[in-house]
Amino acid sequence: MASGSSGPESSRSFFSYYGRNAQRLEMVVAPEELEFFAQQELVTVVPNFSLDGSASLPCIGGNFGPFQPNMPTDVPLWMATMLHNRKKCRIQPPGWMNAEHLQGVYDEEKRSSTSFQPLPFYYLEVAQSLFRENPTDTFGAEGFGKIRDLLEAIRKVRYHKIESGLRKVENADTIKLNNLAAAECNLIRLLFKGSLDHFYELTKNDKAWKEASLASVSLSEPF
Amino acid sequence: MLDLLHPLELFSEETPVETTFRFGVTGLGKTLDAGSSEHDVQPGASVEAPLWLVRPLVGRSMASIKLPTIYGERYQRKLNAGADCVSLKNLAPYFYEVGNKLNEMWERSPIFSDFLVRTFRSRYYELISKGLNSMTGEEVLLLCSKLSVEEQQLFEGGRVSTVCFDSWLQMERPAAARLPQPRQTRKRSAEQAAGQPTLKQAIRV
Repeated sequence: MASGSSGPESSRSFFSYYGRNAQRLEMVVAPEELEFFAQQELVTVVPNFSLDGSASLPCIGGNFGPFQPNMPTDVPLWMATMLHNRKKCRIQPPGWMNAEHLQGVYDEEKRSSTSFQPLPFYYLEVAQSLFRENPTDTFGAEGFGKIRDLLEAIRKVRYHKIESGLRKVENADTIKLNNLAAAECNLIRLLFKGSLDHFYELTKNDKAWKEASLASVSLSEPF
Repeated sequence: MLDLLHPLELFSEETPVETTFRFGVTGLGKTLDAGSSEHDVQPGASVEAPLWLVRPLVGRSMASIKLPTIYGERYQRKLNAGADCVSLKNLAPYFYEVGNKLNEMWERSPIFSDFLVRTFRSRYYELISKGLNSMTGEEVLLLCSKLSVEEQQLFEGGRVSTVCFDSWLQMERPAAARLPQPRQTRKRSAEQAAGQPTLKQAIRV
């Protein structure tokens, strides 16, 4: 029984949770990478060109099109921004990106201090991509400012909730975070996961001791 | 499991722990304590040995350890009273790591792990309470001068995330990452077609 040097359930080091590079911590997934993932989200565009009659455009992610002038069609975000940059189409703002809806979300978000409102998983990334190049074409000069300010306000309210949620962590318990968006998950990944791991490692020995002491009641000590 | 490739974990294994040898050891006296006058460690001698050496010795019941003073009663009382005031950075830079490992091989005392969790809980609250992106540089320096290495890693993780996220939101992207703009060739050819002299022609005239 005494032969094992550190017991059967040897604990992990706290540092093993942070990867190899101790000098410079890095995010596991960068925000730019998340924006790259979000490029697969579909948006509706109105093209102003036609592509060989009624043929659709075959891509790895599926077939998109047909592209006819003034005929709305769904394409991935990367294609939409590319066509938009070349002035080949007009992007229709996604359904959730209008001022009335966002105002409603903002009011709800402020009213309940514990739950998050449902928004698309990549809402920040999609907004960021659409705002990057000529956003006034898509939203109109007035609408753009309004929508951007509302999104900023929503983001801040949600971030505040996340921070107050982080303060409530006291044990290695389950924590419910519904409707959290990709960027927000990623924002608290290192800190939140790290603190839960710390709590787990520190309490684990306690439980192991309990189990070991229970087992030793039934078994006689070999030494 | 011990990960010898991680520098911080290696450093934490170097923490000296006061060990009482039950049996004598030949030729280790000067290695463990450079100021020692004897070559051998006598039975019953108490020497400060690094953590990595203590673990197998205790596992084979060849030595017994005494907890370092930072985990002793006096510091326990101090940490229970106000954990966030104690600066662990100088006293015990690897407070949790070493504490957890000692707890594992020493006695698995629920009181001891309870003490570690309680300390971490109150210090974690202090770490996070100010909000990560609203702290000034001075506050960060003040806080970092108190944190143990584990807490420092945790804090840095949070800081790095918020800084990356904010710089992404501000659209501070490196120039190389931007999409190349389509070159506008049509305009120039239209000008040429209209008969306006290009730069080359103008020089010739």
